[in-house]
Amino acid sequence: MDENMALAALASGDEGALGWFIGRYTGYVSTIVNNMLLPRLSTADAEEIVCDVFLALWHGAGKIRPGGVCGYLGGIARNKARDALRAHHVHLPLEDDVLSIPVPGPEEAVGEQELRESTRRAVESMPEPDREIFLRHYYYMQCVADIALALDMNTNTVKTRLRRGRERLRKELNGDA
Amino acid sequence: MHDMQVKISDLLPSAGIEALPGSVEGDSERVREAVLARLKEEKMNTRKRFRTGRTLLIAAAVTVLLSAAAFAAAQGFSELSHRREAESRYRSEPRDIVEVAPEDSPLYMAFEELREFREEVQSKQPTGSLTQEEFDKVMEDNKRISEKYFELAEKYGLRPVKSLGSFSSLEELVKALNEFAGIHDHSFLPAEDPRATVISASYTDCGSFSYAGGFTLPGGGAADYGIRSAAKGAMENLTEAIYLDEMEDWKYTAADGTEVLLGLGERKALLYVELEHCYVMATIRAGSAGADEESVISEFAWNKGTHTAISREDLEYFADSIGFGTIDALAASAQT
Repeated sequence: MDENMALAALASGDEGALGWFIGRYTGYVSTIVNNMLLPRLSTADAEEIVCDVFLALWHGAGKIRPGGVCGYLGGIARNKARDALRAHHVHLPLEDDVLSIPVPGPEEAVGEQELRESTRRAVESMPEPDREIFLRHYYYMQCVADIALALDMNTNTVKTRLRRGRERLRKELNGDA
Repeated sequence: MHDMQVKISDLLPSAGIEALPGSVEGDSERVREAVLARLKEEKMNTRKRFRTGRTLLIAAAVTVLLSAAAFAAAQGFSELSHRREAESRYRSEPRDIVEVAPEDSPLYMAFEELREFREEVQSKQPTGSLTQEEFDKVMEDNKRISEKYFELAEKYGLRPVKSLGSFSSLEELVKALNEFAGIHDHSFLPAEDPRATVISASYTDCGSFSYAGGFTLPGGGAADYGIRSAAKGAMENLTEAIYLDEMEDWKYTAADGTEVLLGLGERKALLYVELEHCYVMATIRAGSAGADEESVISEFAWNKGTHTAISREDLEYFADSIGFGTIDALAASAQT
């Protein structure tokens, strides 16, 4: 079944369509939630959050644009996992998380779609393991020490590669890539 | 030039990157069972908690509108309610349903029959974990409901509506509608605000359309909204679930001279007007207390702070930004 058809069915209250999305995206959502929560929180906590994400999909189906389910689920999974970490007083600082993008005037805003595409291009163009390090840190919010341990690197190497990733993203967003 | 600050950690999830590191399988069957069980639990907890006071109030309002003429000059949204209420997934009180089809009109009866048929079909559907066979049955049921729609359109002498296209921007919709009706008006809806949480649009062979997007408030904030038209004589209805007792409504003459009905609630605002060839209803996902918490916007840090409460003046400004004459001309063009 086509995803947009399934989304329309979901928006009309079809629980079968919800099952279809769960079958398709459980791996994706679990990847995000597990990588953010484990081992700081339990597997049971992670499973609970995965269920919360699909319930949010059910409630928000009518407001998701066609083709936007993956981005929606990713955003919700991450927000809910982050909230769970906060609730357990787990604080994971991120390296230089804020980027400045020049825009033409105070009234101008960069379009959401444009930002999405530039971000995706930048991440896809990163060589491995820079891409993995970048996503582990800024997507899963894993701290530098944890990433270094997982990938058998020293923390300075991880920081250097994060800086390289930030620079690539900044150039893509500025249109300098 | 000035600088806009963005958080990398907010950009990444919005970009919808699918190939993530550290991939895990996930037991979808187990998740499916758990989610459907929780859904069932939610439904049981919210059902049948009707506010008796509200029911009486709506019943009183309905006695006023026994003729279709009462609708043409609707003085308030309570007059557009037919004693029907809908469960709310978010609050214990049911919401009131307002709709443009006058009670006992062929359109109303056709949709009542369709609703009853749908409910009967869906009541026999399996719940919980679905086998492939059960899932196929659900899809087959959807097809039967779709066929019923055409059967009822014929029975009640209504024109069935066929979608001619769907789009992901206002610009594409407006271009298609201009070509469809042979008109040249590219600004009959407010300019699309890039901070809109959802953008979707479609139009039909009856000259009706729907658009969900965002518009810029005079103060610089953004509000998500949806606007739909329904051509008269066509098998299409416009409904909206709201909390009527939280809504203040008033008549307003928009910039193009059209008198519209506006309603401002705590988290939702409405616009309704009956034109010569169609009905128009718009829902703004914000009210006097703030943006709609049921909306996806609350889930994304992206839009935090940009989607704000709206005032009476903001709602009137929204009405002023709409070209009702063009919307009516779109429906008229399909009838000739």
